[in-house]
Amino acid sequence: MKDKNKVKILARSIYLASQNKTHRDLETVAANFSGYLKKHHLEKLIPEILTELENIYLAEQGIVAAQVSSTQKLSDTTLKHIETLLHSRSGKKVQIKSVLDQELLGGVSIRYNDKIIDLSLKNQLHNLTKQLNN
Amino acid sequence: MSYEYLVKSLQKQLSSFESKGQEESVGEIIEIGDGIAKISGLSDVMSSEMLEFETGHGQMVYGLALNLEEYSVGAIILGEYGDLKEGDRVRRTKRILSVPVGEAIIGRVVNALGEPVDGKGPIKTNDFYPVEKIASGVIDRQSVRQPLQTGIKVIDSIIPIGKGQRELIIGDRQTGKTALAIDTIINQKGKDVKCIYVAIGQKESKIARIVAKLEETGAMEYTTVVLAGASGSAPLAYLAPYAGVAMGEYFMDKGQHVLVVYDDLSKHAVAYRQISLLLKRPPGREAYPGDVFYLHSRLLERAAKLSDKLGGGSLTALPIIETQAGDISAYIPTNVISITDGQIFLETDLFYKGIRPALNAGLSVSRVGSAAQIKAMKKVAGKLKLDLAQFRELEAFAQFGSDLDEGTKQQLERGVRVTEILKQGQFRPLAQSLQVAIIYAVSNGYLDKVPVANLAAFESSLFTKLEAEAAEILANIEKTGELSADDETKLKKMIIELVDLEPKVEEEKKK
Repeated sequence: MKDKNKVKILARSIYLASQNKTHRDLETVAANFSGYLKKHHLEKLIPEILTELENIYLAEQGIVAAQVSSTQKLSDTTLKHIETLLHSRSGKKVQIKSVLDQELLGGVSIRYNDKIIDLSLKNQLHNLTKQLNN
Repeated sequence: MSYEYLVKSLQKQLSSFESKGQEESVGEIIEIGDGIAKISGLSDVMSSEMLEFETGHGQMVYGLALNLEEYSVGAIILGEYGDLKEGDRVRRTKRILSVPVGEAIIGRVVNALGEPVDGKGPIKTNDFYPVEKIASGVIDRQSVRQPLQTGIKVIDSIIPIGKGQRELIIGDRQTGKTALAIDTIINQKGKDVKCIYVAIGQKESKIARIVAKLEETGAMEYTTVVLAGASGSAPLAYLAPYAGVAMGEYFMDKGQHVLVVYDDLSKHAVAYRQISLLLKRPPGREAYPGDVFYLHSRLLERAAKLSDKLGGGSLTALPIIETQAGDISAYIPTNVISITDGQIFLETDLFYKGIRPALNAGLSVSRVGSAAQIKAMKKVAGKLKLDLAQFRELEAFAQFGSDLDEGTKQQLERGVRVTEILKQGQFRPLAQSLQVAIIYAVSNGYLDKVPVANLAAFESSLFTKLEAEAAEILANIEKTGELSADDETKLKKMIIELVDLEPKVEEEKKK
């Protein structure tokens, strides 16, 4: 199995193990888990596990993590607008992370869960090429 | 092409373009290799849905989702996967894989996706058929009742194939399996049957030779070759027969007749085994996955004779299986034997004895039987199978001693002659009427006096004589499918006349 799957499984297991645990027990879980990682030489996966853990936490809390990519920094009103849009679509709380990506050429691309709303110039050019080829 | 025209056509094309801000499902490749990709995300993808892989250079490669697992999706990649890498984006297309169908594909060599590979330009058609489709049900079918003429004496007389039947051609390597199928395709000339030859895992040199032969005989005018060569990837070899049958179904739905040859399904099963093992499906007998029976049954079930209400079209399937050292009890041969409506057995021993087609008449059967024969053939060939069966039984006996009674000797002589007459050269399919004439001669014992060595020469002189002097008898048989009493007397007279001209067995012995 490739690392991505391992990361997902490990993150989910530590999440489930630490659920409803009090202060002391949490420490034991953390210690056991790091022991396990060390034993199986998985230390290098720790950053990825943490990101995945964050995703799981957000999903369980009913929060959708969304990534908004654009070529220029977006104004707060635009971001707010996107947030309400995603909220109405998913019916869940939305947490937005804004990223700059010059490859998009223009427009924005919004990604949440495994969905994407691609309004970038790059994607539109791509669709146009596809149509002209047909 | 003028500048204005270019601008105008571009404007026209661009006017229909609208940018859609649609929500799409995406995933990422987490593992790739050997034509198989593992993908994360795509939580709502459906089984056998087409996927779109985007390479680093922005090119598109298509794939097919086969495994839906808890955290990942397993997909086969249709085409070049060298440019794809981990982390590349994958999109859903919400479409099932389909191939172009219609008149435009006739006479072409295409790959498993229906793309031309013969360098004769693009295929222009607006019709597409899904490669995976549920076969016609009971209500949509009727029983097989028209003959599909192979032009091969031994097949048309004792194991007739009907339109809509599935007849397996099975044998070791180098026993003439492909030759039999190609002869059948060549014989469909002018009979309004569309042919589709699906080459799975074959050497491309062999395919080039076959295509050249089909072109030379004019058979390419009604034939499509679906090619998934040995150098192609396993996913394409896996898809090719389904693509071929989809192309055939189009004509069947239009009320026409189609013949599809799958050459060969052993290599198809091997390609599917490769895909299954790479997708980590558990291996079973001979390491084939559990659903290898369904793999072939769902393909061959799509052969059908449609009811008159649906146009009465038909799709005949001739699957080919290559056995290893005559072992027909291996996994794939037994599977396909049980699926099909009969089999044609070819044997190495017979082939080297000079009996070609090297068909074992005892093990070969057609479960449709005489329903798929014209009346004239039924009349003359009825005794043939019995003659052959008795001959084989006696042949073993006769080895021990020469003290045989007259009746037994007679049967042996007849058997030898029947066997000799049923030999036939490659690329020389015969019309039904000629087959009826020669089989009439041998099964009624008119040739018992002619030396075995002269039979081949006798056959060709009979055909020349018939074509020159009795063309109306041949035309009658072709037209009505029957051998009338009148024609029979004439035919009998001509045969006897011709036999009289030949040297006789007794005279030869005296010399």
